Amino acid sequence: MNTFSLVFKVHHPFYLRPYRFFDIDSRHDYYDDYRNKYVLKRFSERSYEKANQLLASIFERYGERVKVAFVFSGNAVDQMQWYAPEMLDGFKKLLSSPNVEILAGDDSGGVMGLLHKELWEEQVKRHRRRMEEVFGKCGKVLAGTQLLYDDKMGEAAFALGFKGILTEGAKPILGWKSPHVVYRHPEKDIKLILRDGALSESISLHFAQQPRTAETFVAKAMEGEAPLRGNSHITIYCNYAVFGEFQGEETGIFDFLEYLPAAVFKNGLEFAFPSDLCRLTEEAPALHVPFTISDMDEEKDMTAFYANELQRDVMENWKQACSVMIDCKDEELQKDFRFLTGVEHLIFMSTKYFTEKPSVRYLTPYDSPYDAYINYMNVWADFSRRLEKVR
Amino acid sequence: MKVLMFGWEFPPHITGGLGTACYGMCKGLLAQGVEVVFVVPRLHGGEDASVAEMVNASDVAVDLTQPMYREYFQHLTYIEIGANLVPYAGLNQYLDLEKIKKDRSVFDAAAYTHQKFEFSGAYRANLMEEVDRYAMVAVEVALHHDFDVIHAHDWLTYRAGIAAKKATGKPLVVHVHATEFDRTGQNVNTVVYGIEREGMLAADRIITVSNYTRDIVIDRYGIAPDKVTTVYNAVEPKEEKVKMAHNLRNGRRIVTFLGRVTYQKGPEYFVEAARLVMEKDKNVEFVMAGSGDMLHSIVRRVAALGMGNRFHFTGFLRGEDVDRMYGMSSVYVMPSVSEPFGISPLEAMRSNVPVVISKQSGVAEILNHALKVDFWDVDAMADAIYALLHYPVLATMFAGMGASDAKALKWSSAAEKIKGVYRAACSIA
Repeated sequence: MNTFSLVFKVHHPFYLRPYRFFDIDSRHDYYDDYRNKYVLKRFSERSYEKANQLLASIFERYGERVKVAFVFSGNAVDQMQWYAPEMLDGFKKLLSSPNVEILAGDDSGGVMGLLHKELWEEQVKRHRRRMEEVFGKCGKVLAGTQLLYDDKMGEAAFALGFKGILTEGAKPILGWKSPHVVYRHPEKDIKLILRDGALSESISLHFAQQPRTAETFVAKAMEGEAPLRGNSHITIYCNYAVFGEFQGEETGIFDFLEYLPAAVFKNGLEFAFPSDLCRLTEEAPALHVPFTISDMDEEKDMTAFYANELQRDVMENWKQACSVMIDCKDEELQKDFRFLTGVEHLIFMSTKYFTEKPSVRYLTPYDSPYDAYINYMNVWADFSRRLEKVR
Repeated sequence: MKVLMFGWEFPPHITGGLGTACYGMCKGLLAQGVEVVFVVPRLHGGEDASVAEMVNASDVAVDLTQPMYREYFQHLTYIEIGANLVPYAGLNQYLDLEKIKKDRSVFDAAAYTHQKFEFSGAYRANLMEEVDRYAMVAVEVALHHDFDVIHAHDWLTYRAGIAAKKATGKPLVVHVHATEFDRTGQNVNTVVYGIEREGMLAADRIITVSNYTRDIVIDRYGIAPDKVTTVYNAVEPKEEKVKMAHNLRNGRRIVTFLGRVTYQKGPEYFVEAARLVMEKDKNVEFVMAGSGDMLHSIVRRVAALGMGNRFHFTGFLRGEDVDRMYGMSSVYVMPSVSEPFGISPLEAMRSNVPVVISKQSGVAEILNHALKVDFWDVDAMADAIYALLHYPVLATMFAGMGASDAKALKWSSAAEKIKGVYRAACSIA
């Protein structure tokens, strides 16, 4: 049986306020509260509320045949708790339905997986605790920040007890192989579920330019480059805010979502949770991922956030702070560290051309990558001073 | 004695040191009993009119049918090509270039009869055009005011000075605050160079801000040495700033660069010196205050060296923020590649901050209590910075004695010399 999986990401980074050199050592409020609140409210109104309503009605119509998975970043939960508790209640209600599965993540939308294994484990565990606390569910499948993955992370995820991991069906890794097959880690018993990048992006990035109906979308999925054979899966992963925000309501994106289940069933597909895919008994082929892949840009690698001198410098600073943070008991510092190590801070510093990341690009508060770096380093200088003091 | 003075900017609306210097000079001249009519392209409001009668060039109506304007019409049509090579124009202004060019309509003489010109009063793409419009307005201003001598500051106003001289026959003094060689090294914009030389040749007397600049004027522009007099700039005394200096340091050690981030100011040498200092002492912070066309490449270099955590950028600072920056600084560095004078070290010294200055600056001629290094010698620069940070005796001595060095430079005495130049110019003419 061929299956179809939907995975939505809900994530809100913490934007920094203009933090001047003169503020170093005198003010420790780094975040642009107004912007953070505004973005969350805007996304809620234009996207989350409507999409939640729509999903609820779909669940009602089709029963448990429709399955959707969500992954929440810790930052998004933090912000909803502070700025929009009613939105969080809306999600809680939706997630209480048996149609929804939750995936594990690494809490802050950071890149700890690349920097410091223990800290990363801490963050994943923390995320698991929080999901349990807030939504009463926790995931057996991990979806890291920007689907970052390599063999080492697979091993670490296995050690934490995960059954599977969601990552990108990256061309440099797959080559001629199909992303519609469940793979496994070459050494450990952990499954790899690959997103179909082209199909996902045809919704998240190109929907407005090339509108599709649910019918034509699923039809294209069926006859893609790699035709589906028995036990194939099509996994779509995108930001939840694609519905209504990145792709406006006027593009017909909500209608698309509404008619998607009917089109899926009509083509003989069934919905599956990522965890269902991990439970498949047949032998999965091994997939070796020697270098880190992500869901970003054409290259599906780290170059969107780790390429130029600015980003390397920031990353180096993070690396140095990691060894201190692992023993740091100061709650405020831990909180700021989580908020300040979000991958968006690095993406704002990207000098790469043709970066296709509208979810980040159109939200950047800076005039140039250099402004982003200058502002960030001012904040970081203050943070590292505070860190030195508790040392 | 009454002077008709042409400037391009006046505090509080400044982009560089020229405006500040003009303000101090007017105050000093007033104390010497010299009255000043100060003409700027556009008054923004808030200028201190107590030191000089302010004339807004935008308010002067010009009758363009008069034949004497014809010469400047011609310039308007062909000089504008140099637009993207203007001094002080940063990257952002450069980006506006094409747009401005597109928006600009063809200059139509008939439409401009009895026209008041709008001057932007900023260094922009149509700068060359404004320079010539300014010259036209200068004639009107000259004909309607009574004065003994004309004083024009820097090349932007030379044409205005020459026009006023032709219209009235009064002697012209040009004041060289910077030359094209300072701003661009050897790659001079020949249009600007031409205007500079034209002004120097037409002038009866030339004032330079240092002997360093005087040499350039004599060697590079071929001006007779006896026509050129050096009058050093000064700083306005302000005592209250000195007090706050130490409070702000708060245990931090900050080394500051303050100026435009351009070729002339040598920001890259500051970065390299910072790298060398940090190799020995991680606990120092460096600040680059200012903006300019080299800012982005400097940011990249700082990041590549992994110093972002300790090397900060503040953007362009003005007013109180400048004083605050000096107040927080332990060492001030001016690594200029070619600096006609360099008023900022004096401002730093006035705030009791010891300074390291490049030998390629005018201010190095008059400061005794400052460490002087060649701009390219980053090892020596790093050494000087390190010494001022680690040997408190040296820092205290330089801070104290440097401050008295700076206080000795008064606009009143500079004005006295300028008055002497005026007299000499009048006696020739």
